[in-house]
Amino acid sequence: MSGLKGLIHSIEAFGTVDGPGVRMVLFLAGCPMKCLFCHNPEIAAGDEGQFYTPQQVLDRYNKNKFFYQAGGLTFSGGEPLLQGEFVSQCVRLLKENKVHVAMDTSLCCGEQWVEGLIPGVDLWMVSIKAATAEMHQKLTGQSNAAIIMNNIISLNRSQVKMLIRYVIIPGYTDDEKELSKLAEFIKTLPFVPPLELLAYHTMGVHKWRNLDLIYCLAGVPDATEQDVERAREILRVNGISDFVLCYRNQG
Amino acid sequence: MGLKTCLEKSENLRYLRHEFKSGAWEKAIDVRSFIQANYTPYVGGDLFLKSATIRTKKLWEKCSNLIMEEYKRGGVYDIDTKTIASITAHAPGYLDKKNEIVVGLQTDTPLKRAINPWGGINTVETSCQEYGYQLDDEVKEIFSKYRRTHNDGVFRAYTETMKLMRKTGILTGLPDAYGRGRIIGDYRRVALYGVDRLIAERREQLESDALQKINPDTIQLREEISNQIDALNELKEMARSYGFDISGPAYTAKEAVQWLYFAYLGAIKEQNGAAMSLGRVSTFLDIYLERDLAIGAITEEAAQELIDDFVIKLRLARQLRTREYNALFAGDPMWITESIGGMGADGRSLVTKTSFRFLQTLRNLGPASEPNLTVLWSNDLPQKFKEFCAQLSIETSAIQYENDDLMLPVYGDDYVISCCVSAMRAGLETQYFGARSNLPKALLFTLNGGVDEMTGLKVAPEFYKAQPGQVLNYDIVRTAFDKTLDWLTEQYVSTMNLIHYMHDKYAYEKLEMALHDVNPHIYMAFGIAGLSVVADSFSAIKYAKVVPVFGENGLIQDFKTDGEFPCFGNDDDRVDDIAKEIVADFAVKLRKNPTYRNAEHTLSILTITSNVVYGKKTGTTPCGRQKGEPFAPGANPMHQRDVSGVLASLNSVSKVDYKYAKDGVSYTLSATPQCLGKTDNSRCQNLVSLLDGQFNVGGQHLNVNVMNRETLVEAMKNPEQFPQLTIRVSGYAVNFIKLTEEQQREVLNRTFFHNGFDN
Repeated sequence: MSGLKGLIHSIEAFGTVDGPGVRMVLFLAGCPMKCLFCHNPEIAAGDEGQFYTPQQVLDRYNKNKFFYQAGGLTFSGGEPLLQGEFVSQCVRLLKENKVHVAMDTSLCCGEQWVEGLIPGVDLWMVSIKAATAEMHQKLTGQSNAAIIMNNIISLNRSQVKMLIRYVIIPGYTDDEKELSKLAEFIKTLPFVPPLELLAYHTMGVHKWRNLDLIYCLAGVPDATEQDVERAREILRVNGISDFVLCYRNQG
Repeated sequence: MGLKTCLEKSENLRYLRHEFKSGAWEKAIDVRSFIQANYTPYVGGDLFLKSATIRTKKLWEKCSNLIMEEYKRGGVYDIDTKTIASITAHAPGYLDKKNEIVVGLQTDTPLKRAINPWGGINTVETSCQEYGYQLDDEVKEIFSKYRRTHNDGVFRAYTETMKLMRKTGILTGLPDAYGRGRIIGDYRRVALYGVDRLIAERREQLESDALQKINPDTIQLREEISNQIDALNELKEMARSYGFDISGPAYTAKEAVQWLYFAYLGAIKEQNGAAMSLGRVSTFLDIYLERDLAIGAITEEAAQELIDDFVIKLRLARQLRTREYNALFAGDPMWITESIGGMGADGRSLVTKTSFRFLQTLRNLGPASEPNLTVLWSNDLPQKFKEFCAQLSIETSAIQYENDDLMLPVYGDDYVISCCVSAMRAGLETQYFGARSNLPKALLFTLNGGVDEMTGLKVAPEFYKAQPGQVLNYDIVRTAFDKTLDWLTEQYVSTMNLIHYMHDKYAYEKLEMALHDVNPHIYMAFGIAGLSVVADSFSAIKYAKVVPVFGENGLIQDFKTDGEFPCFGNDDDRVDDIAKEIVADFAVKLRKNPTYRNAEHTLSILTITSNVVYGKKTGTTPCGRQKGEPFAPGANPMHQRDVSGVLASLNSVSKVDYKYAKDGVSYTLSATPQCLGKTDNSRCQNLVSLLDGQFNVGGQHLNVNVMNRETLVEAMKNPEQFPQLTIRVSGYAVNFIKLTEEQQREVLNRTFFHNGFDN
C-alpha cells in the first residue's frame, strides 16, 4: 500500500470553494473527458505534477489541520477517480484519521471505485456536464453519458450525501431542453440531491493557448448572474427546488 | 417607569450598588474581582442589537462633516497655540450640548488640538508651523527658559553614539520628543470607586512603612504619588466643569460610561503618548448596562446609544503631531485600543452583550480606525461571537485579533492590549515603549565594518568587513552579525534607560499612573523592524552566492546574487529558522543589559507604518530589496515574496517563538473576499476557521483585511468618495485616505491573497 503513488497536479491549502469549510484541495492530474469548456486543461492533460503516497497526503493535511476543523479534504482534478486505487487508499487512511472527505468528480469511471469509496467519502460533488446524450457527446467528446448516469443512480441509492454540480454555458447547457432533461433525471433519483449551478467563465481560456490547444468555445460569453437565475427558474418550473444557493464562477 | 424614576432619585442610587455581588473588590482596589463576581457571559448571536437612533445618526453626521473638513484643511482642523495642555487647562467643550449623552472634549472645540510641550517644545513649534500656525511666544519662552522638556533632558544626556544611532536610523521612532505612550490607566477604577477612594488609597501608600525609608527610589516614588494625587484632584475638577461630581462611584450605566470616559479624557488631555489605549472596558460596562436593563431603567436602544455616543467621543480624540511623526505612525492614530472578549481563568468566556455593542458601532457609525477594536480570540469563545466578529471584519476591515489562548497563561484574564500587540495586566503592569531597531541595517553595518551605508558615518565597531569580489560566507557573516547585535542591544537598552529616566523626570504620566497599583510591574518593550528582510538576506547568503558590489566611497552599494534562495513566508524551515533564531538571539542579548527601574525586557516584531521610513533609510540588502524600498510591516514576509499561499505565509510567521517576543508578533493579512469563499455565509465561516487555525498553531496577532486592491486604487483617485475606508496596516487601522501617497503605494504592493493555492 505504501508503495502506491498518485500524480497530483497541485494542492490548494486554503480551499474555500470546493466543499464545506476550509479545505485542502488535491487536484489530481489527468482526465478521461475532453470537455470543451474545461478551465483546467493543464490538469486534465495529466502529464505534470508531483507523486505523493497516501501517507504524504495525510502528512500534508496534518500540517495545516487546525485550519480544517470545520472543513476537510477534497479530491478534485482532472478526474480523481482516474487514479481510483490511489484515491481509495488515501480515503481509507484519511477516514482512519477522521478527516472529512469530499469527492469532486464526474463519475466517469468504473463502477468498482465508486462502491469501494462509499464508506469513506462524506460528500460527493458530482458534475453533470450535460443532461442529454447529444449535448454530452458534443461537450465532452464522450459517448458515456449512460455510464455516468448509472454511476450516479447507484451511488445515490446508497444514500450518500451528494451534491450535483452543473455548469451554465450560454447557448449550450442553458436551454429548456437541456434543463428539463436535467430536472427529470434528478427527480428520478431515489434521494433527490441538491443542485449547485455554476456560471461558465472564460478565465481558463489562456491555458488552452499555453498548451497549444484550440479552444472550441471561443466567443461564448461568460454566464452572468442573470443567466444562472434564468436557468434556476426553468429548473424550478420543472420541479427542482433544492438548490445550493450561491453564485460562483465555475472552478 | 416607576423603577426609572426611582433610579433618577439620587438617594436610591446607593441602593443600586448593593445589587452588585460582593468580593475582594470592596476591600481593595480590584476591578477584576468586581468583573468576575458580577458579569454575565453571553453566548447568543447579534439579533438583540439595535441600530443607531436618529439622534446618534445626526450627531455622527455632524462629526463626519467636521472630520471631512479636517481632511480638507490638510489634516488639522484647528490648534490652540496658547494653552499648555493639562487635565484642567481647557474650558468644557461640546459637540452638540443638548444632544450629547456622554460629554467631554480635549479642548473647548471639537477637533481643535492642544499643544503639549512637556515632551518637547521644538516638536510643538514645528507641528504648529507645518499646519500654518504660530506657537504662542510666551509658551515658547516658558519651555525654553524656565522649564526643561523631556526632549531637552534626553539630548543633554545622549552619548555621541546614541545620537549617531538615531541619526542613521538603526534606532528610529524613539519616544524622545513626545509622550512615550503605551501606558494604560485602569480607567474603570474611576467608575467603580470614585476619585476620592483612589486618593485615599494613595494617601495610605504615602504613609506606608516601605515609603518612610528615604533613598533615591523612595524619593522618586513619593514625589510621583503626590503628583498622582494632584492629577486625581484635577480630574475631579475637570469633571466638575462639565457639571459632574465624580468623587464617588458611578451608579448607573450612563454614569459608569461618563466616569470612565472622563478618566480616559483626563489622560489624553495630560499626555500625548504615541499610543493612548483604552484597556478592556466593554465587559466591565456590561455589568452596569445589564443591571440597568434588568430593572427596566433603560432599553436596549438606549444601551446601544450610550456605547455609540462613547465611541463617537473616542473617534474625535486627536493629538498634535509633526509631519515627521506622521511618516512613522501614519494616519493620525491614537491607538485607543479596546480589548474585547477573551476567556476567564474559570473557563467562562468574557464575551458579554456589550462586547457585541462595541463592535456594533462599526455598523451604526460606519467603519473607522478608532477605537482600535481588538478581539482576544480563543478557541473556546462562543461560536456566534466568532461569527459576528468575522462578519464585521469582512464588512469593515477594522478589527484585529490576538491570541488569548497564548496570552492568558502569561497575563491572566484581565490583561489589556496597548497600542497594537502589547499585553499587560490592567492596572497592575505597565510598559516603557522603546520603538524598534533596524536589523537589516545592522547587517549592512556588519558588512561595512560598522559604517552606515547611507551616510558614511562610522557608528558601530568593526567586527568584519566584506571584501570586493568575494562571496559572502554565511558562517563568518552570521558570527560577525552576532557581535554587532551584542553591541546594538547594549546601546539600545542604554538609550531606553536614558529616555525613560528623562520621561519620568519631565513628562511623568501622573493621571495614568494614579490608575495603576503603586508599584506596577514594568515591561521595557524593545522592537525589531525588518525581520523578513534580514532573514531573506541571510538566506541569500547561505543558499545562493552573494557578492557585494562596492561604490566609490568604499561602501557596499549593491549585491550580485547568483542562484535561488528560500524566502520567509513560504513555510520553509531553511529560512524560517533563521528568522526564529535572530529573534531569540536578540531577546537573549537584550536581557543581559540591566534596565531602568528593573523593568522586564520584552520584544515585539511590529513596525507600525515605520516600515516605509525604515526602508527609506536603509541601503540595498542582500535579499534583493533595493535601497530605499519599504520593509514589510511587522513580522510579515516581504511583499510578494510569500508565493505559497496564505497558510504558508501564516505558518512562517507563527514559527517566531512567542516566548522571545512576548510584546507581540504582528502579521497583517490582506485577502480578497473571493479568497474566503463564494457566499457571505461561507466567507464568514471560513474566516472563523482561518482565525481558529492561526491561533491554534501559535500565531499571536492577525490583522484582517478583506478587500480588493481595486478598491484602494479607486480610493487613491477619488479620496472624497471613500471618507471611511478603513484598512489595517500594522497593529492598527487607518483611514486609508489619510495615508501619504507613498504609504498608500506600500499598502498596494502588499501580497493580496486571491485564492488558497499552496504550490
